[in-house]
Amino acid sequence: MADADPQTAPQPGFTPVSQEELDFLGTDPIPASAYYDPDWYELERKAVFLRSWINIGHVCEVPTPGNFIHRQLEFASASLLIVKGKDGELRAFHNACTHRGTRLVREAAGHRANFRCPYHSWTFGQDGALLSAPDFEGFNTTKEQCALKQVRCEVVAGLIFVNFDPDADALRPQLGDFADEMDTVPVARATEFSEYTYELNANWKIVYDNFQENYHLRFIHPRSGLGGTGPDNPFGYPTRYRFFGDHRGQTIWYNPETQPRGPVQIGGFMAAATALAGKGLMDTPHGREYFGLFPTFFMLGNPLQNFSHVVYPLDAGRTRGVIRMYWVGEAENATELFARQAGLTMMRDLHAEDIDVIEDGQTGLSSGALEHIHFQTQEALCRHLYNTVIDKVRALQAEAQ
Amino acid sequence: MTVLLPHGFEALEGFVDQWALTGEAARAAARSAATDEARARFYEAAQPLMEPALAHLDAKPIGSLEGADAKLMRLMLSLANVYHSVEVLGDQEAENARMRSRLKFTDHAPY
Ligand code: FES
Ligand SMILES: [Fe+2]
Repeated sequence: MADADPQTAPQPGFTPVSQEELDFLGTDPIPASAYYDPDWYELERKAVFLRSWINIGHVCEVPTPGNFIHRQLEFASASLLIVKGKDGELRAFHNACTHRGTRLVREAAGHRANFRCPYHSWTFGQDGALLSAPDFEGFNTTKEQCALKQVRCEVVAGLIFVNFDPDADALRPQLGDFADEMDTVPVARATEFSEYTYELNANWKIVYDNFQENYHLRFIHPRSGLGGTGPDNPFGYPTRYRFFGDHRGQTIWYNPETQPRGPVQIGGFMAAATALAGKGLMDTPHGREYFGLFPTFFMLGNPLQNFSHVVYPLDAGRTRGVIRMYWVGEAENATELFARQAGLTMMRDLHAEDIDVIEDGQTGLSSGALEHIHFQTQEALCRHLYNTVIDKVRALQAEAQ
Repeated sequence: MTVLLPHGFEALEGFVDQWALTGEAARAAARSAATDEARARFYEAAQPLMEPALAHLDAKPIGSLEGADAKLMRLMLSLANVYHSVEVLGDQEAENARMRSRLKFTDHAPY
């Protein structure tokens, strides 16, 4: 692919990251119960999900003042309204009227000058302020006290994140080098996307872990995992790992000898590369990076595979996922539209191949048969996720004492 | 008789009913529901016409394809689904179809 960064260009004689470099993560087996026990999930829900930045959308969904999106976050039993205000600010609110809690919005997205509750007609502005309420004199409160309940909201690289913890540290400063790097990826300039979603019978960490190790590539994706493995690097391990606090990444190795499989795949790739190059998006400097933002977001920097993948826990053993391929600008012609569809097909087929092993892994663990699971050196990102979760749970428990 | 496809693409007219579908979800479902033979027949007819078809469509504004042109566009988008079964997955298609049915499109497609 057109990434010419000399630091990460494929080298003959690939050398995997050594265990020594990863010793700080530890080498012990991992307690299996963390991947199925409902009591443990309840701790995670409070210590991780109600206190971390969760990606729920992209700024291209709320381009003009009055645009809103409505998102259900099961782990918080919350319905959120993300609104672009007249002042251009993006704000997130609980989709709950402050009178008696009625949902203000049912549709997934739309445009409104203000938000009127259907029940007794309390009306809120795009900034959440209570503008009017019939017969308000009868209430023993003020309009100021009745503004919509706000949730923290932050945008990084065009991606919208929310956080239920009013005291959480801002996201961008946590991300180290990732923040500026993510700004160079097409997603930061995206104006539209294609999306597919799933619900899987598996713990959120089992789902997420599947997508942060390459050990399985050659077994699960022998045909569709184009360019992910090669003779120098039979498992397709990354060229480096990076850790920024809770967040983690890898630099993906691509087999330089990769040949597309047939004329349509070749045509699709060439058309996609031409369209991206025309928009100045092909030679992006961080096209080999995998950005994993704790707890549940990851994306690739590769402009040809600029997808994001977010998992949302439903309970200890069920997970909802949202995968999006982001596009900069509308397709300019039929060839570009065709190229986008060809890339989307490839990506969805690749993701589909992981489903059985994810759910079968859950079945095995949920039986309680295993006390521990094992992560090898090159499953370092899975280990880092587990370690980070443990840290969060312990911190919450320490605060409670 | 109604003209199904633009001049030069008559060879694809027999495929319009099964493959010239609107929306990502419908095209993906058609791909999965088809037999190996039906996918192969469509691929073999459409792949050699891919370049001329896209060239024909590229000459028109992409935002407002209509009638025969829109049908041809949809056929090409179905080709951009079916190719992956034929060129890449081969005999893994059935297993892949079973698993990928779990991945549901949120339909945004313009055609
Ligand atoms: S519950 Fe909304 S106005 Fe009464
Ligand atoms: Fe995989």
